[in-house]
Amino acid sequence: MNIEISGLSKIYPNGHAALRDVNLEIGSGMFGLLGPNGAGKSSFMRILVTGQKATSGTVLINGMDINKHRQKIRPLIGYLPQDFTYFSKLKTWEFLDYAAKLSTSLKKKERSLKVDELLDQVGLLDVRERMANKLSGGMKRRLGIAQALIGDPKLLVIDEPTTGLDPEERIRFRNILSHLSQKDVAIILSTHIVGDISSTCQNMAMLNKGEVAFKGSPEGMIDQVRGHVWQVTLDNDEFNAIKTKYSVVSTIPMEGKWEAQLIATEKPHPKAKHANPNLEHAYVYFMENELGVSLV
Amino acid sequence: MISIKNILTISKYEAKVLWRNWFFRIVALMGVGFLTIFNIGVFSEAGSPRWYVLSNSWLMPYACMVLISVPQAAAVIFLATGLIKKDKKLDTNEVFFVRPISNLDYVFGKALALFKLFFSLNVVLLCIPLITNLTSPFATFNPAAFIIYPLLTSVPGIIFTTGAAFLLVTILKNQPISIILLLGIAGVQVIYYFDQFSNILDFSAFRLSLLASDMTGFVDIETALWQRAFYLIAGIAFLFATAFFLDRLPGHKLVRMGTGLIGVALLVLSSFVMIKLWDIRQDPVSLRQEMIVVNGKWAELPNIDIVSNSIDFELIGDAISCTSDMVVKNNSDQTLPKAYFTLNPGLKVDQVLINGRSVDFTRNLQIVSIDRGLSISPGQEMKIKIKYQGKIWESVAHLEVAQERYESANDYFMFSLQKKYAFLQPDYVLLTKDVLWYPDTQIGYSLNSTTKERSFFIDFQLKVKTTGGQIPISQGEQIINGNTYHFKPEYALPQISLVIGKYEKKEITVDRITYAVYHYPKNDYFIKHLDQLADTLSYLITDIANEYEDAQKLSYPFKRLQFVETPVQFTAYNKIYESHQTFLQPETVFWPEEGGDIRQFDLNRQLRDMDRQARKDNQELSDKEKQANVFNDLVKRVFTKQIESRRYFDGRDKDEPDYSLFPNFYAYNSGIVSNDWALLNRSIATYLNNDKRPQNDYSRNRNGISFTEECNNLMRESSITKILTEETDFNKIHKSVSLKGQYLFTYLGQLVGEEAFKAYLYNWVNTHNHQLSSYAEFRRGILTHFNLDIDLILKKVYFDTAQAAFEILNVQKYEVLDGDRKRYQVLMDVKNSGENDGVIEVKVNTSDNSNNGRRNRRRRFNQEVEEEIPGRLSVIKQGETKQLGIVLDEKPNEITINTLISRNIPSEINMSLGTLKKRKGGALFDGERIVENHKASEQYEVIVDNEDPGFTTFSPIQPTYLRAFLDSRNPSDKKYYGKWFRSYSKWLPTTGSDFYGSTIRSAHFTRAGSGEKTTTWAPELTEEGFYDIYVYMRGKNQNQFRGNGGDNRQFNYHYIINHADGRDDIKYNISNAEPGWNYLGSYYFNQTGGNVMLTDECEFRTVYADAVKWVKQ
Repeated sequence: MNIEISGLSKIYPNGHAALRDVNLEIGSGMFGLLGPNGAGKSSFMRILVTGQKATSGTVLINGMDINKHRQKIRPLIGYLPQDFTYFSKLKTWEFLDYAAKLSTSLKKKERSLKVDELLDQVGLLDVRERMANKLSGGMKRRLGIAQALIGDPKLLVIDEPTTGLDPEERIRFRNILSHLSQKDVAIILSTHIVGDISSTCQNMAMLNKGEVAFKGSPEGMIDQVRGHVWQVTLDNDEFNAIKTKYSVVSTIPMEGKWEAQLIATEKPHPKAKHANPNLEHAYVYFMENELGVSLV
Repeated sequence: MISIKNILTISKYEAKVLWRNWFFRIVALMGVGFLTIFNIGVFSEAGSPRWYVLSNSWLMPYACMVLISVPQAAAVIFLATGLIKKDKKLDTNEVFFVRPISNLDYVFGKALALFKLFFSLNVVLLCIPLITNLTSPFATFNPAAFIIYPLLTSVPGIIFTTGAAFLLVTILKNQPISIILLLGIAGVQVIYYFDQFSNILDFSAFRLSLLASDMTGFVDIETALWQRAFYLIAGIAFLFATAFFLDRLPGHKLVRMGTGLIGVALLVLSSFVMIKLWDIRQDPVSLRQEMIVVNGKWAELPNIDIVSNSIDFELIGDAISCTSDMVVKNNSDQTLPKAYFTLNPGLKVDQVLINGRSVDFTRNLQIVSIDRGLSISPGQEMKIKIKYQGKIWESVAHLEVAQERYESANDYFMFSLQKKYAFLQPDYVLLTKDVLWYPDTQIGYSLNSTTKERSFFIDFQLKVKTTGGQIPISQGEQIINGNTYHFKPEYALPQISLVIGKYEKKEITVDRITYAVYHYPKNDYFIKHLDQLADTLSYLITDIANEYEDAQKLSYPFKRLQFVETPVQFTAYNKIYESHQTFLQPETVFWPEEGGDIRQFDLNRQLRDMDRQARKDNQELSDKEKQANVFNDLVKRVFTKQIESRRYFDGRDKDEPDYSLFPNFYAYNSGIVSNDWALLNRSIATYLNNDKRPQNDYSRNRNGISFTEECNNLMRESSITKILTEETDFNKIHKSVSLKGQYLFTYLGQLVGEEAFKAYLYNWVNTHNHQLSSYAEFRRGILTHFNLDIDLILKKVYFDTAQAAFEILNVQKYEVLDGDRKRYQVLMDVKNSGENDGVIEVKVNTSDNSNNGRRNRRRRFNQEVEEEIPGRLSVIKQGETKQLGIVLDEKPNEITINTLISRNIPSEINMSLGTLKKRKGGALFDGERIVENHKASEQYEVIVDNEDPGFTTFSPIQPTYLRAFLDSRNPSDKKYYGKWFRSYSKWLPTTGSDFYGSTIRSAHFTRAGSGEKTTTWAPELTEEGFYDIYVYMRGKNQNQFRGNGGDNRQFNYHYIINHADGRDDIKYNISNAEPGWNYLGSYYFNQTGGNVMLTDECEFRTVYADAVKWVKQ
């Protein structure tokens, strides 16, 4: 699976530029898309799933232009939008069967097996007869995943998949995706939960104001922040003073004092020590230092 | 581009979603509930159904489909807009938009889901009439009806509504606005364009004429099919357009273009269908206009007359091939260089032969003219043969019927019936002279000339070739030779008709007249209900025939009378120049299929009603007696009209079917023809016709004045010629013509003696059977016999617009003791204060139960018809006052003065006589005498009527918003209001016999209230002093709606007298008031300042304020 995106721009009729000259190459495996709200993630994904036309630029999926070969491309796509709640008055299995019938040419029996297999995979087999709109929020997300997976898609586009899931479900979800990424499937994951990406994605990109601010591996992004993450224990007055100067990533209260992690290019406090960076640190660093967005 | 699999998948699951939708379930349940109640109430035996809803085997499923059509359209609109709308907030559709389906799959899948659901609902709903039908002991089961009607009504309706809803919501992207728009369109169609434009806009087929006949199947289904095709195609086009405009990127550019192109192509196709539909509607309308113009061109040209016409008729599929062999004659006094015939423009003339030699002819629509090589000298006869073949264009019939009336609905149960004027199809034929199926020389209706009547009857002969099983029916003796039927009428006739069908015949000969009933084999329900009459039928017929001939004072002039069943769609109109409808043909009556919706044909119900009545009256009736009564009731009400209906609404029903046999006694038998007085013959027919007329016209109750008075007003403004040629409402033309005719003969009757004149006319007809007489001959006859030139009278009656106005004065009524004998004397003075001489007819009613007629009781079966006391006629010249005296042996209750054509309102005055003064001996006066000087009362008295300036009303109540809105929408210049309209907020004037007035008897009325609304009568007195005050009351009639047990209750009017000494409040008990003046009290009045007031306070629903009289003591 190979997706080549070059010079992709999307300007809405009201003049708002959602994407500006985006160039990306995405191969099989998990690809994380990170960015603040309004960065253009949703527009980008909608263009990828043939839901919207780009203003300019090309997207080639396995060499096929997305504007010219929608008919051939659509069978390859599985999509789970962010606010997807269309469950109406169908039972869980019916809903999946509906999607299966449109996406596959399986016979009734095979389809039924496939539906149950997927329901099992997402842990919904017990509730297959329950009306889909009566499922809990997490179950609905899982059913959403299941419908996206039903046609054995080669390109899976998932928007904010773990929002509203409890930790257990989130882990289960990551496992499903990891499992999938073993095959020749490209999974594009848009999220603002940095952990989702760091734990699963081999590659990622960061969008800001419609432009690609970073592309590469999560490790590559973390490398950029190495040496700029500090840990320090402060009393109340010191903490209040330092808070206004540097981005504090985390604070832990300790016996009237604060243990804080913060990002700074120079040593922020005499007692400060270097700490091990992660993707979240990298994200904050990136936003502040590379893009000039003040998070303080 | 389209994947059936995808469409089916989408439809399967979307249908599931819809089916689980509460809205649909509620709609479906309501539909089932409503139709169940409807079927039980209207069709099942539990609701004692009318025969006409059971007799037609197509009706039950059709009625159910029509009933659900509009609500179904609304439900589809709601569901369809919800189904296709795109939710902006949630990315719901995108999950499906990403699937490998085309936009068409998506749209058609959803549309199919909706369609499947509603169609299934239709199937379920149809089970209700199906069960009702199968369990009904009287209804016929017709499987085709259950299949065809949903396909014709529901299917295109659902598809169109779905398409329109989908498209609108896709373009507008707003569900509520789309729903409002679509419901608005549906509402405008149903309410505003109801029955307009031949129901082309009726997308739900709510009023489209689709009721089939059990005799001929669907008639003229072409229009309906095109109409349904339009909505089907347009609906599909809208679906393609929806796919085109759908907010989803198409699979391929070309696919989208293809979708758009097909959509456009379908829209173009539907436009063609619409154009075709419009043509189907418009072509006959234009043809009729053209034909009227053509008639006008030929109307005044002298022409030959047809002496005899022998027609060879052959039916070939849905066309005819005929040869008409005629002997023609020049009856004019000049040599004619050309001759012309009328013939249906759909028939092609192959050849015209004169004396065996083929001649040239020209054709101009309905006119076939021989313009060259012809010269017929006066009195000369000639043989002309015309060969023609082709189809019959029905729209040529009844040209005088204006477009609005021609296109108006023919209501039957809940449907608008297709109006048929002729049938020409391989299995059924019905042709009358109205469709010009054989050549004639009489020119039809045109705008600028009055229709010329034929001056000679024709010796017809008709030869009809049929195929197996078909029986032709026409006039005259029948000679059958294999498949050829030869009809030879014994007498010359004005016209002939032809019916061909698979008829069965029942006949009986009584007193040398053969009575035959022709019916379709399955339509023999009447035999079952009248099975005991076989041996008494001849006696029944003799009785009915004798009664009828006695009443009409004419004998039946033909050898046979045949009653031919015709499809329910066959329609006729009232005419201006003819007094009868097409349902009557010489020797023939066309009765509607299985009795149509005529109550008397509902034999089962009639028998049951009789049972009930007999039980109520403790009567024992055998089945045979019951059947005989029902049979009598049917014949006497529908055909001989010797039992009148009790109520009617004058001026409302233009074309109520009329099956009266009278035309066979006069119009098809005799006639007096005048070129100058086109209305004369028709007037004679009306005058001679003694069919019982309906009583109790309700037009005054609704409109404030009666329809006769409206027409009198019209005739005062316009001459009858103007009324005929201008676009007057046909009801008014019809009524005015009848009134003029009635007036003419009443007037003539008065000049030469009513009895003598009528006897002369009857004698004329009886001695001029089977021929037409000329007006000149008739005029000579009257001149010789009565020494009266009728011409002057005709001119006066038809051209005068000035009218008489009668004042009824000084009515005296006495019970006279003449020795041992009690006799009754009524005297009154009638003054003609109008602008012309006038005639009045005075009738006295002596029966006690004069109120019975007012109660809406149906006359009982076989009840003895009361012998009506003939009215007395009196001519009162302009300015003259006559005293009329009537002496009776029985106590008179009511006196009726019919002023015919006059300024009077009411034009017919019914006066209750109330209590009679007792008198011993004294001279009795019976007759009329001129009163030289009407003696004025010696006592000084002042009357203030509600029409006078001294009368004022006070109505402080604001009308409700709804009423104010309705009033503002219908501004009216009408002066009087019907009593059925009870105004809450103000006093309104109305008219009636029992109100005070000279020529206009009126009063004000209002709905009773709490005393806020008042009226005031303020007199201008020349002398002050003590006055007795009287108020004018309607007497017993004051209480119009006497409730049960209300007889003993006392009701009061609240009067306030403002007199010289102050004010008096009077609760005046009106329960026992006399009709006329009632004494209120005596008070001292100054010359000005005094008055009498009446408030609206009363326990009755209505309060009337009429007149107050001050009589000086």
